[in-house]
Amino acid sequence: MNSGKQKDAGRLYGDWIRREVARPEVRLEKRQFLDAHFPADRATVLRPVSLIPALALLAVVLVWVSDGMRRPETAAPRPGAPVDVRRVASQAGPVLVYQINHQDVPITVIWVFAGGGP
Amino acid sequence: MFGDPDRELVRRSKAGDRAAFGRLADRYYSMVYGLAYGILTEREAARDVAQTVFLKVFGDIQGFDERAKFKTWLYRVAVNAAIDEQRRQRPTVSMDEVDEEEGRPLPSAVLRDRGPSPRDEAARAETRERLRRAIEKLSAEQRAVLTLREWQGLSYGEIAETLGIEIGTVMSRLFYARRKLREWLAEEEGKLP
Repeated sequence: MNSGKQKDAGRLYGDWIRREVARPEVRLEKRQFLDAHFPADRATVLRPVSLIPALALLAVVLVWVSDGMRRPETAAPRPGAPVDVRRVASQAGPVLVYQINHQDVPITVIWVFAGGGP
Repeated sequence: MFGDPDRELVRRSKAGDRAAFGRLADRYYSMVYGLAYGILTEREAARDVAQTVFLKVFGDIQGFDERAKFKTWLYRVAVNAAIDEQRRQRPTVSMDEVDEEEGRPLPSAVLRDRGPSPRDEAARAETRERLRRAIEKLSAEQRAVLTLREWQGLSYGEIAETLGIEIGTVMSRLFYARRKLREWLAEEEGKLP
């Protein structure tokens, strides 16, 4: 008896089992069995105290996003508002730079007059 | 560092942590099912044996010596459970003498897995069916050795340790199992038109 062919028969056997074990039904049966008898411990994940760090982080993100979404109503300086004005020149043309304070947020405004300045 | 990878889960299981044992069962379910199927060749029986094995192992885990490997122990419990089930369903003569006729031809009614075969897999399904008939000619012990070797890739020494037999016995059973399988497959192929 050709031992090579005998080993092939053995390999066929192994492949036969591999194919069976790979069936989706086997995975489903496993899941059903484990859920019924040895369920994963989900309690610690879903307890409210475990969610506090995540909620805190979410709050910080929301504040940061909403703060960043606020835009000044206008970039032009309001009459009477303290303004620090600097006039500089550039290759692009005269440049006007000033800083205003909008709701305690310092904003630097840069005007570039390409075709001639004020 | 290279110890048993299951040690921590086994320790927690021994303390009654069912979720920890569930992770062990998740890890080895396919292995145990495959072992049972290789020996029993029937899906329902294999499923029942596999699930019973895990329930039994969880019940007995207090007595498990953590110096041993959990996987080896699981192999042994699974193989023994499948062999016991095989003998319960189809009692056969003693399997210790490998040159005796082992097992008896089984009626085709034993084949209980009659799932539908896709048309485009008809040829492969026929091969699998011939293989199943050939496997059923083997004893449970021969199937156990064949399964551990051909599917799990265990060495002769590992198989001997798992089954609690001598390496020589492992080699003999493997030799005769493969030979019988080959002879039967050749016979089946000869019957094809």
